[in-house]
Amino acid sequence: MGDPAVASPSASDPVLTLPPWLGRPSAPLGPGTSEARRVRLDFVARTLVGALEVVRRALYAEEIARRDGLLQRASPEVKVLCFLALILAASLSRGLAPLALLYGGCVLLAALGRLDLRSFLGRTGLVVLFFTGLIVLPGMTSLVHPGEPLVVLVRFGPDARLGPLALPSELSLTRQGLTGGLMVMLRAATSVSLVTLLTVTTGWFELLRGLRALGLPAAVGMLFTLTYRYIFVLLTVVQDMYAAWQARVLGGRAGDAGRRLGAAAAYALFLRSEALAREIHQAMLARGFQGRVAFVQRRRSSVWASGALAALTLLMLGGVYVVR
Amino acid sequence: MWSADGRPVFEVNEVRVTYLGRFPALAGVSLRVASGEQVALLGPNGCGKSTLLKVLAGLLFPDSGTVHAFGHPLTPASLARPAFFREFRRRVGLLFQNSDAQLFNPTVFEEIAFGPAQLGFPPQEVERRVRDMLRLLEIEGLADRAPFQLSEGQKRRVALAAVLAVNPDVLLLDEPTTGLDPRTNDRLVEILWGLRRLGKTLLVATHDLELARLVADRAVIIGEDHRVWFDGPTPEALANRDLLYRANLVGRSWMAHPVL
Repeated sequence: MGDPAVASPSASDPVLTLPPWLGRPSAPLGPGTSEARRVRLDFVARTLVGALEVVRRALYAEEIARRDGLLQRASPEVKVLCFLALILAASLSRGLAPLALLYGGCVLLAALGRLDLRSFLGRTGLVVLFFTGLIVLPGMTSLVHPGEPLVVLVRFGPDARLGPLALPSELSLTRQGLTGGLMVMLRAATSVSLVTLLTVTTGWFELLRGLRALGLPAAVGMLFTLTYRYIFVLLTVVQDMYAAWQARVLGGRAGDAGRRLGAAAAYALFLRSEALAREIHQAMLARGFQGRVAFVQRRRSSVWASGALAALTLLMLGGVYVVR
Repeated sequence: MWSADGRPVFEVNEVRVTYLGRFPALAGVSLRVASGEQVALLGPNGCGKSTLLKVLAGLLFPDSGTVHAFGHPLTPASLARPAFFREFRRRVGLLFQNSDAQLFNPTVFEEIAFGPAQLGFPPQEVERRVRDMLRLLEIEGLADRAPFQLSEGQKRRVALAAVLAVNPDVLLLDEPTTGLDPRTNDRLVEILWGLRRLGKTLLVATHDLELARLVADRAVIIGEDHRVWFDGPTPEALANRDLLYRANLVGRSWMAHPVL
């Protein structure tokens, strides 16, 4: 056995001496240091805040997936198929009535999934309608989509010009433009609502099971699972790195310093991710992983819930067909 | 294939491991572990304790030397055989030092269920084992929580539950008490005592001498030169203050006021 000659400690060993500047006290705080200044978040901080919001929403979604609602109890395979069919119907519908019916169906499904309707409608309805509306607004006017005027917005007069361009006599919202714009908005709101309903009422593993039933390769599913799991770990690391940097920065955060921090953090994160990935693989092997994950079905799906969802879906699709 | 014929659980002969071809981790380590033994692998940071545990778990393979587990050579070729792989993984559990590396499922329930599910246990059996482990480790309230939400102590409990769920015969623990509060520490020691009474083989890599005293009959001290400096009864190791100091297991303050 090895036995290097390292002496045991003795009373004559020198005591550690610290550098003298460590004992230098700080000057008292001056008057300027107590001024309240508005802190402006830089790009890195804003990105982190945004990333944390993602974490918060993911946690909220997992909590909804555990509620005892119709959507939560339906089997993931049936759910994926039903929602895909409804999304397809929303994409292919050519009229306001079928899209309105589909959106109404989404609201009903949200209620059956025990979602907070105000929050659901606010996020998937109002927000989507507003931003889509901004995008399609020019298309609703006679400038892009000539047609029967409904509301005259501006009267330019008979020979109005803008430099070399001849302007129409009036700018109005047209019936055809409005119909087309509303269809786009409603289609976007319906599609977003359907995707949101599917993802928040289905646990991550269950969603993967449903997608695997549609042919998603197991390796791809595993990749998504590990990414989902470890994104939060890595976000925490980034947060800690940024906090440590903030705690040691004495001057302002000029753009150049921020970019250097970003580059250094990306490099450090890459190394840590690589090391973590290796350990994770070892941990998986140690617990029997042989390249193909055997999924654990935590919640037993309810046949009646799956049947009810399928029946509702068929009803909605039938309604779309009738009112098309 | 797995008959109890008195052969040691592990036989390690002159194992050498080097990282990146340059950094030695183990420099000719030999040891034998009998079934039912409780062994403390003691040594400072970087001496090779974690590396040795991973070699014993068949996750790392030595550059030279041989490793036998349950009388069979532990090599990439032997672990490539599905039947041997399954049996070995069922019998040997490793608790990693880094809990985050070990918790890779979305919820605690799924984490504990992972091992039994991979080894082909029926769903009802998987569920029963998960419930039992949640109760044993006192983490029933965490079943639906995501691992990243947990404190270090909670993560360690979940990781231990996940390893125990397959009922391993041998438990390899890498620094199990690092970062734990006293109550969690006590619970862990109680569980290790319980496993000891059940005849499990335990190898605990640690520099916590108190833990070694509490759970291990035998101590193997690995020095900073990555070799074995001592292999014998734990009380004998802990009584040798000079050895402990030279092995960087205790410092000056302990030498002045020893507590063990």
